[in-house]
Amino acid sequence: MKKLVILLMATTLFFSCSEEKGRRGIDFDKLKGQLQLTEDQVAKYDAIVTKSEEERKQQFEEMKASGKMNRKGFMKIMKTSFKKQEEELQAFLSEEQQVLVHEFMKRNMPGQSDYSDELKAEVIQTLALDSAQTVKYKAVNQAFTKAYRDAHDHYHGNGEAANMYWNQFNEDRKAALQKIFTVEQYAQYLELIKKESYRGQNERG
Amino acid sequence: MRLKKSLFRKRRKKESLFKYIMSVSHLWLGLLSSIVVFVVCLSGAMYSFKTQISELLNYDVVFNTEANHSNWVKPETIKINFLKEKKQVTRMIYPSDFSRNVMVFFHDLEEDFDGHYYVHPSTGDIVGSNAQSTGAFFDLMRSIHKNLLLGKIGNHLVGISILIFVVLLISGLILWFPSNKKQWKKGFQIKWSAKLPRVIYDLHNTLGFYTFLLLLFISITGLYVSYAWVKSAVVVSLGGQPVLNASNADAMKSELSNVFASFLEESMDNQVEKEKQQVDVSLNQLIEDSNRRLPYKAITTIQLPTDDNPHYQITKVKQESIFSAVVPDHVKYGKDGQFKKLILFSDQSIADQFMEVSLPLHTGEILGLSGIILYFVVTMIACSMPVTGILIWVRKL
Repeated sequence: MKKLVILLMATTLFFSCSEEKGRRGIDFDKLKGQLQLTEDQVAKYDAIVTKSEEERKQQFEEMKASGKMNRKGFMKIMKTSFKKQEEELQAFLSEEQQVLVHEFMKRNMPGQSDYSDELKAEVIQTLALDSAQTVKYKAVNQAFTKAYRDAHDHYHGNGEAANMYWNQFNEDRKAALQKIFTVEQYAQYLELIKKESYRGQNERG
Repeated sequence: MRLKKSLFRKRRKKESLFKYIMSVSHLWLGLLSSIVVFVVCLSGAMYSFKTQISELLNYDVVFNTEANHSNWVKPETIKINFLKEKKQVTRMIYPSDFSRNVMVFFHDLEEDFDGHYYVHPSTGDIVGSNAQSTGAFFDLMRSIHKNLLLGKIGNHLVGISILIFVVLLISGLILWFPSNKKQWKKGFQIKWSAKLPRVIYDLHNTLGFYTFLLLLFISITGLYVSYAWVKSAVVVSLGGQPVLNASNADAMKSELSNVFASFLEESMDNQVEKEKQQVDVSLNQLIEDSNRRLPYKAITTIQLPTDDNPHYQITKVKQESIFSAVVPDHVKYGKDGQFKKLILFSDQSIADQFMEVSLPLHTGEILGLSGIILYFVVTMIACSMPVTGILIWVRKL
C-alpha cells in the first residue's frame, strides 16, 4: 500500500512539474546544421540567434504587460523579427548559404500555410497579369486561404486530414485559375509553384 | 498480496458475471485514469471562470456603477472621439444593458499597435482598459486541461483517459442500479449520519448517479474537440460533412469544391468592395437598420472594415433566449453602407450550429453564468470521483 501511495505521488509530481517542450517559430539549430558554418561564422550565428530570441522574448513580455496581447500582434513581432534576423545572418554568409537561409526561413515562417507572398508577387510579374486578372488571382488565393481555414474545425489536430484539405482546395484553386489565365500563363503558373511544392505536405492540423 | 487479491478478486456468490466484469473493470480503469481525470477536471473547473475572474479583477473598468442613465452613446460619436486621439476604431461591443461599459477596440495610428478601451455607455468617456491580466494563469490551466503540459503525448493521455472516463461513467451507472426495491432509496440519498466510510461510498455512488448525464455530455464534447474521429462521428450523425480521409475523398470532392466556390464568390465580392472608394458611412444608421432587421435585446458587436475584410458587420447575440451566451446573428453591409446579407444562426444546418457552439457546450457558457456554475459544480464532483473511488478501494484492501 505504501508503495502504491508513493507511486501515485511520484506520478502526480511528474505531471505537475513537466514543462511543455518545443519552441514556437523557426528551428535555428536545424538550420545551423544545414549551413556548414566555419568556426568564425558559428560564433556570429549563435550570437545573432541568441540576441534575436532575447529581443523577441522581451517584445512578447512588453506586449503581455501592456495588455495588448493578441495573435495578430504576436505574428507581427515574429515575422518582423525573423526578417531582421535573416538580414543580419545574410551579412556574413556566402551566397550559397544566403540562399539556404532564405529558403529555410521562407519555408518555416510561422502562420504560413499558403504559398509565400514572394511567390505570389512573382506569379503576377512573370505571367504579366493585367489588372483584372490580378484582382481575380488575389480573390482566388483569398478563397483558398478562407476555405482552408474554415475547414480547420474538421482537421484540427489531424495532420493527415489537414494535408488532404490543403490538396483538395489547391486543386479547386488550380481549376479556378485555369479559367482566369491563358493556356500559356497557366503552364507558367504550374512551373512557378513547383518552387514551393512543399506547401501543404506537412500541415500540422 | 492483499493488493493482488483486491485487483483480481473472485466473483461473489450472488454476483452475476456481467456485474463482476463491470465491477473489476471499473476498478482497473478507475485506477488507471484517476490522476489524469482529477487533474483535467480540476484545471477545467478553474478555467471555466476565466472571463468572470478577469472581469472581477477589472471591475472598475468593465462595469458601469452609475445608477442614472440616459441614452446609449452613438457609435459614430465613439468613432470620431477616438479618431481625434489618432486611434482608428476597429470594433465596438455594446452590452445589452447599462450595467456594463462599451468595449472599443482600436488601432493606434501613431504608435502602430492594437488596443482596447472601455467607454461609458452614455457619455462615451474613456473609463480605462483591463489592467489586471489573468492570461498567464488561465493559459496554464488550459494547457494542463488539454495536454497536462506534455504536448502531443499529453493530448493523447488526456484523450484516452477521458475515453476511459466515459466507460467508467457507464459501468458506474450499471453498478449503481440497486438489485432490490429496498436499496433503491439508498441510491438516491447520502446518509450523512452514517459512519465516514458509508458517507464516502454514498458520495461516490449517489453524486455519480446525479451527475452522470451531464458528465457524459461534457466528456463527449471534450472528446469532440480532441479527436477528429469523434468530431466526424458527431457531425455526420447531425447530418453534416465528415472529416476528409482516404476512403471518402472521392465522394467529398464535389462537396468541397462547392465550399471553395462559395468562398470564391465571397472573395470576388471582397475584391470588388476593396476597389470601391471609401465613403463616409454613418454607423448610427447601420445600427438602426440592424435593429430593424434583428429587433431584440442583445449584445451588439460592430465590426468596421479592415484590409482583409472590406465589410461592415453587425453581430447580435440574443439575451432573451435560454442559450444566452453564444447564439449570434449577423448583418453584413458593403463599404458604402449598403445592406448585403442577413445571416441567421437558425438558418444554419444543425451540424454547423453544433460546430459553432461546441466549445460553449463543453464549457457551459452556452447557458451563461448559471451554466458555468452548474458545470463547475458537476466538474468538481467529477474531480472527487477518483478520490472517493480510491478511498473506497483502499478501505477494502
